[in-house]
Amino acid sequence: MRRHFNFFRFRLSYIVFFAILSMNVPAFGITAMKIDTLVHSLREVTVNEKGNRTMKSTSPTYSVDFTKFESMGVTGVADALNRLPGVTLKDYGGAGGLKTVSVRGFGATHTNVLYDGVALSDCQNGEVDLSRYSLDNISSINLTVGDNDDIFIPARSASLSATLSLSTRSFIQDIDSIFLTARFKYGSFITVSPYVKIGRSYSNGNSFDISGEYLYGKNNYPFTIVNGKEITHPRRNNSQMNSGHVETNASFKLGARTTLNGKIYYYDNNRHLPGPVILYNEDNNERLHDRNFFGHANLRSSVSSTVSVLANAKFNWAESLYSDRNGKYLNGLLQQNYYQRECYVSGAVLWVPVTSWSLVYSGDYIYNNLTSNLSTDVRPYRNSVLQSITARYRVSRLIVTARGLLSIYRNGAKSGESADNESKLSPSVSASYSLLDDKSLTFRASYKNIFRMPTFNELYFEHVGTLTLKPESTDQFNVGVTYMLPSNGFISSLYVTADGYYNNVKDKIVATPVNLHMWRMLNFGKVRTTGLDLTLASVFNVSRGWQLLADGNYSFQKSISLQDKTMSDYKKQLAYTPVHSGSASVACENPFVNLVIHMTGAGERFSTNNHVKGSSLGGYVEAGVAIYRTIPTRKHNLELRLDLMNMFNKQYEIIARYPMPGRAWQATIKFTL
Amino acid sequence: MKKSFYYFLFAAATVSFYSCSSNDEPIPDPDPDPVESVDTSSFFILGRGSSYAGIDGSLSYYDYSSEDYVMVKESLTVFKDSNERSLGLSPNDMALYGGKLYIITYESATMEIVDINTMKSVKQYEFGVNPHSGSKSMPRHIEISGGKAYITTYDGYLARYDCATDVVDGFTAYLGPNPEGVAIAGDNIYVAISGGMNSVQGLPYDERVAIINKSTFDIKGYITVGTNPTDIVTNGTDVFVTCMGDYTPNGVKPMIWRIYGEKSQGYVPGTLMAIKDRQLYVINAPWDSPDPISYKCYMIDNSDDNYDFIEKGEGVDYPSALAVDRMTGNIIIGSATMDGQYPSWSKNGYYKMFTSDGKKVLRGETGIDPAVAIFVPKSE
Repeated sequence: MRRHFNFFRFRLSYIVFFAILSMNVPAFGITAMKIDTLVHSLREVTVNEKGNRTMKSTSPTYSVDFTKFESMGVTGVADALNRLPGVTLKDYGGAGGLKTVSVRGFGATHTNVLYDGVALSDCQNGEVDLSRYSLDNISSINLTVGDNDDIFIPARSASLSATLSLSTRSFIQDIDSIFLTARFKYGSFITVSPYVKIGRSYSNGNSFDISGEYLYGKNNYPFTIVNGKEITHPRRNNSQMNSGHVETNASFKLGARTTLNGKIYYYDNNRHLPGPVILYNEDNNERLHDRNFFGHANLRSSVSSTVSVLANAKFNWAESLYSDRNGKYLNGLLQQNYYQRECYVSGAVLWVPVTSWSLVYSGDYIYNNLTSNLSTDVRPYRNSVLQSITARYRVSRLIVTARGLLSIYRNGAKSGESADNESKLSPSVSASYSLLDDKSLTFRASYKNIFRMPTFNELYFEHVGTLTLKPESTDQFNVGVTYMLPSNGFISSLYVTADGYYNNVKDKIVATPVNLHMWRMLNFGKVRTTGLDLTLASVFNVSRGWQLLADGNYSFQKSISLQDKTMSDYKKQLAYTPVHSGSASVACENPFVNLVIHMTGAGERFSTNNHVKGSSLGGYVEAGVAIYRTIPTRKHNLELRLDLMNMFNKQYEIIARYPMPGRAWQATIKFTL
Repeated sequence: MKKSFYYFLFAAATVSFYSCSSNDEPIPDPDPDPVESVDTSSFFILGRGSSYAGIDGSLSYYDYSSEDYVMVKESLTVFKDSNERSLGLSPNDMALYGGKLYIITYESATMEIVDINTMKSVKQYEFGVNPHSGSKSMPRHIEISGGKAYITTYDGYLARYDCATDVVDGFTAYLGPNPEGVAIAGDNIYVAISGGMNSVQGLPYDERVAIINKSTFDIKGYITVGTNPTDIVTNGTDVFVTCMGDYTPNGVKPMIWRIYGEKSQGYVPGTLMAIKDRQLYVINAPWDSPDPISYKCYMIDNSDDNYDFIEKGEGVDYPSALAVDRMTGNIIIGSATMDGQYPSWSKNGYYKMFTSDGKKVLRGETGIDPAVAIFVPKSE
């Protein structure tokens, strides 16, 4: 056999690990009060509070919260991410498709994903599959480019160029009551999903909840193949998924100034993989079974009026079982089983000597390992120690934050040669200044130097991995302005942000065909990105009980390769990265039935870095509409919602040969006690 | 294009070619060209495309003046242009028989039968699901002899396709993992058993050649050769196998093995080969060697008697296809195009044509990853 690097298999194997990858979705109590009746007032509170915070942040921070999920017509975590600027979502299509996020031309491995403040990880592929996380459990999604506004965080939370933070819904404390949410969804291509969450909070501030979700999707959606003059309309084949997750949260008030939170999470997804569309051949028998368990605990305490401490501990286990039933394998079956584990502890101290100064020291230790059923497995592991010191200076209109992160990575392999070690010091600094007394107009500027370690696949994957890889290092510069229009009778709120940025990636890790027969992971890329992100969030009071909510974003992103002038990708836009992309939604909320129209779109992209003929992916605009209505009664709420997705049945691809679903609908009924 | 009553096939790269029995099969001249002032010769090159980049393969056609080697007509995408549809993903081999090209695509699991006068596909044969494996049989290599096409399928079999009735009329028993090249010498069919997919299961490559009785289609036995046997060529007497090695640095290097009766022996190092009478053309481009690529023609009976079959400095970047025209001795070498310091798997490749004395006479573009070249037998 002539060795041909199989990109898709490689991707898949990635996936397996993560219980990731990568190459590669992956809770909470509803507030004690009936959310739906409170939605307007809550919206005001959350929007204004969050608005104020994100508008003054020193680095770009974008947020979508659960009230916005409704009014923007968001149908899933991936869809929510599509509404954020600067984000390039990789989506293999349908409910079972892997969804990963890259930000501003950095690869998905540069996006740190936090779940209730604690990093999710995948040491094999370095990418977190966001299709694992259920929108029902999430209260808000925050994307920070550069350093987070909250400096009292584990060192690891600042260890990548962008941070996506998923926060689960929590109870309103100090009320003694029981809460229940039950939701049932049914939609096109036989998508069925029940969800239930039950919780209890106590007047002493403790609370507890447990939730579970199941999702079955046949995912056999039709798509169009245009093959010269032949046009066919087959359906996705071998695409079904069975997935469920259970999650429990507990929160204890240990005294007036100490809170202990705990979470246990289990996820199980057994899916068939449809693979890329191949002309004349629909046969595919690939399967992927992912399981992930993690538990984390978090203690936060104000030791004194000037000192607080934060401690986190986490254990993570993930299993990824990939199989392909095909006669080309000995005994007709390929099984690649990957297992990874992580132990993570973190401590941080916040000291506020005077009101204008805050200082934080954070120290993290992480142990990761990866094993598999393959005889070529070298059983790699990694010990990581991350320490950071962060200082913030804040006076009335000015905020300045500076951080130094010292990272030490020690690689090992139990049954083979191990990769190189790494130590680095990474500085970052950011500032915001409000021009006006009411802080409605704020300028911000930031710089961050950071890197990402090579993943275990990049280092050890048989024949392809390279033990001597250096980390991919990045520099990012951002300048921006935010403006908050004063409220008046008609305008309830209106925020706009504009950020321009300039990024560099050095030593980018690229799978390169070093000769006819071998691909190798090499530090071979150099990428420069210049871009502009614009956002708008607004609420208008049209008349009594009638509100119009308009949200939108636009991103311009020029990500070009600068590696080698003699190469055909020189100064060409990176594969799968649109120059223009954006989204918009308009909702009309009223006493009868709420209506939202939304669209997301992107310009032309290429599946290859050198834009060869046949690798262009056409631009698209996908539009949807939703109607929803909440029926409050004395003791409970009933919410009905109908979504029509991709209503113009636009045929498009985000990943080449993985068609996205066309027109589809989804009905949701939700009961809240 | 005129057809000859003599029909010889030569091709190479991942394909083995030449079958002795093909001498007996005259091709009728179905459609003699109208008045043609220039005497031309033609050849086809099959490009694998890029499975990695999701780009289908291509068939390219070239017609050049036989006198002064000036290109008269060429089309890089002749299949797509003539049929208004794609050839499919990862075409891997082709054979010319009876005025038709039989092209097999690995990932699309089809065989396209193309009339070389009209360039139209007269039939698209789809390989079916193998009841033994529950998955489609994916074809790898093809050899045609005596009106039958012999096709290796990656699930471990050799299929026999009747070119007259257009049906598969026989399968061998299971041969072994991942059969690749197939060659026919007398009543023996030789099939390389590569075990090419074993490595994804952490298992070693195979190192056998299966011998099948052409008349009964039974397995006669196996001969052990080097690691990862891939291509097989024969001139009807001598049988050679390219054993690609294990693709690991400091591992087993590519080696061409010779089969003598029931024995075998390492012959010369090489990664690509083609055979013409008593000469074996070998290109050696090992993956982890700093040595320059070598282009040597060996006198089969004495490998010490050899010469460089192209002029110095006329080599290609990354040879991927080799064919020798049995009539003229002309040579085609296909290559990937460099992209910076590495070969590109998404840019179109190129070929060079040499005369039998090693002079470069043509150079041109091919589709992505040129894998197989075939000379169309030339009329007198």
